[in-house]
Amino acid sequence: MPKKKSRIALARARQRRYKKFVDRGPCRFTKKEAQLKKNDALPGAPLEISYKDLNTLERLCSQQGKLFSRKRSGNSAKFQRQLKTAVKQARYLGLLPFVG
Amino acid sequence: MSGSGSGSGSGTALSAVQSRPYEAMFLVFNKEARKSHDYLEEHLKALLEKVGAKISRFVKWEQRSLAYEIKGQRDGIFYLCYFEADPKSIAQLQRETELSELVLRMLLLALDRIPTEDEERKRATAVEEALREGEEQRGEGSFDGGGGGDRRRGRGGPRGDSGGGSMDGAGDGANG
Repeated sequence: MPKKKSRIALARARQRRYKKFVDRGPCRFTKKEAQLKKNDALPGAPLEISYKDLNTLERLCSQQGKLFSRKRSGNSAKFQRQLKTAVKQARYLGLLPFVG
Repeated sequence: MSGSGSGSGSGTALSAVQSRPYEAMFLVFNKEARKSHDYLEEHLKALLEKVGAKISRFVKWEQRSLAYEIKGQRDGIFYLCYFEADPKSIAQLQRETELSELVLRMLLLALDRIPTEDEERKRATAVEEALREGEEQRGEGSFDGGGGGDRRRGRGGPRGDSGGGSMDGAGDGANG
């Protein structure tokens, strides 16, 4: 029977597993918003994720239709909230599945 | 955010009719569309006008298959509408849509202002670009493949097959 791993060892393993997701720079949407602001090209209002951006929503959801964590997608809190709302609205309209 | 319930009790006079912009997405039966698209459009417009909404833009957004069955329908047509209406009339609009046999779902959002077509297009492109640039930067293309692969392996047949076929699949058996 294999030796049972200590709690610390398990935590380290988990850290290693997630390491590839963290420290990869700022949120892509925040970055884009700043870029647009700099170029004075914001579309009349701050950048907002809508339920109509189906491609984006699908890419940020798992195959089961669950939203990726912030750790994994690297989104800022603000855009993760927008994304959450957008996904839920899209689910209501039958554009995205509740269960994948 | 209108305090519609408490209006009668307080002494404030709300004589002027206030209107505010809304965005509505209608999901409509597809089978009726075979008769005529105009019929559906007219039906929706009639619904909105009945409650005194001023329609500023009305477009057929998309026709697509649904992610899950809604009222026995596998696919539907989406109509996007921007309009201005009195917040008090919204309850009636919701009731009318609920009673309508053609509308499967309606998503109603209150807006600060109605975006122009150009603004909406720009916004959508910006979001799309942000997604793409983020993926390039984070190298998610490869990651997605890896993650998906893992999951597919977990669900797929090969593991079960090997476990059943040979005795050295004991480890697999313990996992499953």
